[in-house]
Amino acid sequence: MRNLLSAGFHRLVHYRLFWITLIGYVVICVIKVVDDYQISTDLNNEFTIDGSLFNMLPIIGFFLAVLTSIFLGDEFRGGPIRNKIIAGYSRNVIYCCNFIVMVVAAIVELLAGYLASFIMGLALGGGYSTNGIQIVVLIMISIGVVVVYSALFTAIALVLGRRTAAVTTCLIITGLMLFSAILIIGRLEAPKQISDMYLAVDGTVTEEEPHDNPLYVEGTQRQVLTVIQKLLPTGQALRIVQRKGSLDLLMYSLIVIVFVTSVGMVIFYRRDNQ
Amino acid sequence: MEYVLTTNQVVKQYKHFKALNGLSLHVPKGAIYGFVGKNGSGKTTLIRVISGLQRPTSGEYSLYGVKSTRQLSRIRRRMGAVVEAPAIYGDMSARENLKQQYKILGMPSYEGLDELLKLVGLEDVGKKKAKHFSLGMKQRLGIAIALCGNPDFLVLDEPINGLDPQGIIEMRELILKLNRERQITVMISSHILDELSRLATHYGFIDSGCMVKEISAEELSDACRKCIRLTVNNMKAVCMTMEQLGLEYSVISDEQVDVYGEISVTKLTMALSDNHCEISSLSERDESLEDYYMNLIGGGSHA
Repeated sequence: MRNLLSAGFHRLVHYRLFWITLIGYVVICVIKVVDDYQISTDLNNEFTIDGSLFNMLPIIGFFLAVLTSIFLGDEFRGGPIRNKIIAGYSRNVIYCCNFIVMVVAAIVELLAGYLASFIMGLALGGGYSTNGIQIVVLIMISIGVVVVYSALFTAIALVLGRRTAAVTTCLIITGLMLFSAILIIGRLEAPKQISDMYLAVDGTVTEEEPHDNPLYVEGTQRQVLTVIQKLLPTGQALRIVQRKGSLDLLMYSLIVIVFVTSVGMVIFYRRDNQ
Repeated sequence: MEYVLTTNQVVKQYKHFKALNGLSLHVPKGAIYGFVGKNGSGKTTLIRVISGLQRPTSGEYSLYGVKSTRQLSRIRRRMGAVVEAPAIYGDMSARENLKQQYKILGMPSYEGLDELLKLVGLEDVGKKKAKHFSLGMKQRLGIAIALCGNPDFLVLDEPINGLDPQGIIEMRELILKLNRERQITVMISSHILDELSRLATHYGFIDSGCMVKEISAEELSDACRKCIRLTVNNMKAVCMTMEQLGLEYSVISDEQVDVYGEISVTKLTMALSDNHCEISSLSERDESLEDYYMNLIGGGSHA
């Protein structure tokens, strides 16, 4: 396994797309920090580093989808995965090594984005509004988020075995997860009661008595949506952007990682390779 | 005889289709084993099975006498294989591809890498990416990768398909060199019989997933009958003469006939002359591997 990991990391370091996605993510993070700084300045608000640090987390999934599916898809495209099987490695070992390599790549991209955002925020004179422990907790949860992405994309790439199909599927799933998370969080954050307001022609505003919001979800439905939001990496990422989140989210990430990886390994073990 | 690979009643079934139907095969140590069959006869499926890429539905096979699945994974390190297309990283150079394979195999250094590149004639390609290689270069790089762990058994699936004449010659020389100088047992699947007949020391003929016959090149040579091909101007007279002399013959066309068996050419020409038949040409012919194959398998549409 050590040999396979060494080969995997050797390939990753020399893989152009890894550096392209890493630099691309870093650039977007830096641009977002500068943009946040300008908005804060325009509105006379205090600019904080932690306010910008996590803003790009929800889109890292797209970068990882492209990197993982193409990196692993190349193993099938030219057929080098056959060399590993013929060399005597079991399919489970091959799967695990690919997963570990992609996890490391994802964490490196994430931390590079944080580091770049932090340096840029510091250069722009940003302060802090969140305490240090909470920032560390959010960073840990975000590491869990990218590991979930890696588990998911590794499973898709190795099970499908076709590069183009893997890229398309990973991107579509990431988009769907992000869209679902936005909808779910929108429903969960809907106020329990709302009051209608009327603006008369003469400019007077009349506010009615608060009444129940028909879009507010409660009971079992609320619990289910909460669990789904916590299971989705995009749901966790959106919470991290709001600087909300506790270490229990890591448990949800772990559940998804174990489930997806187990299913992926079973299918990969059973499939015939060309 | 010591065998590198033996398969016993191997079956590979895809839903209702049996790609391998109880195939038994024996590859002797040190041989160049020509694995011959039509397209779709099961050659590549068997190679995938013995390479560990697919599992047989039933039956068993052994590499160097080892049968157990767990030990087979380990023993497979002694074999190299190029299955269909060569397994290479297109975005890497030839040298980087070999380095990657050295790492996969856990080799302590890159010793022998230059020698391998030289062996397959890719020592001068520099940093050119493998995706820009010609088909022949890719095939040779695939073989170099398969040779990385110093295997003593090499499996090549249709190695000359799509190669130009120069590429075919280079591939043939490389395979002979590996077999003669490095004592590597080579199994080649192919349906290009003429080329195979220049290399193989043993043959296995497969049809519809079954082994039809295994034979050594020497046995094949003995089995292939010699004949004399005559070009004549009177086929009726030829037939009459052959009947008179009691010779076995087969009419090829209105002007050509093959005559089998030990024949006195003088007697034959005189007998034909007596029957007013003129011979315009006469040549000795061996039955080719292709003829033998066609007799054995029958003329299928893809043969």
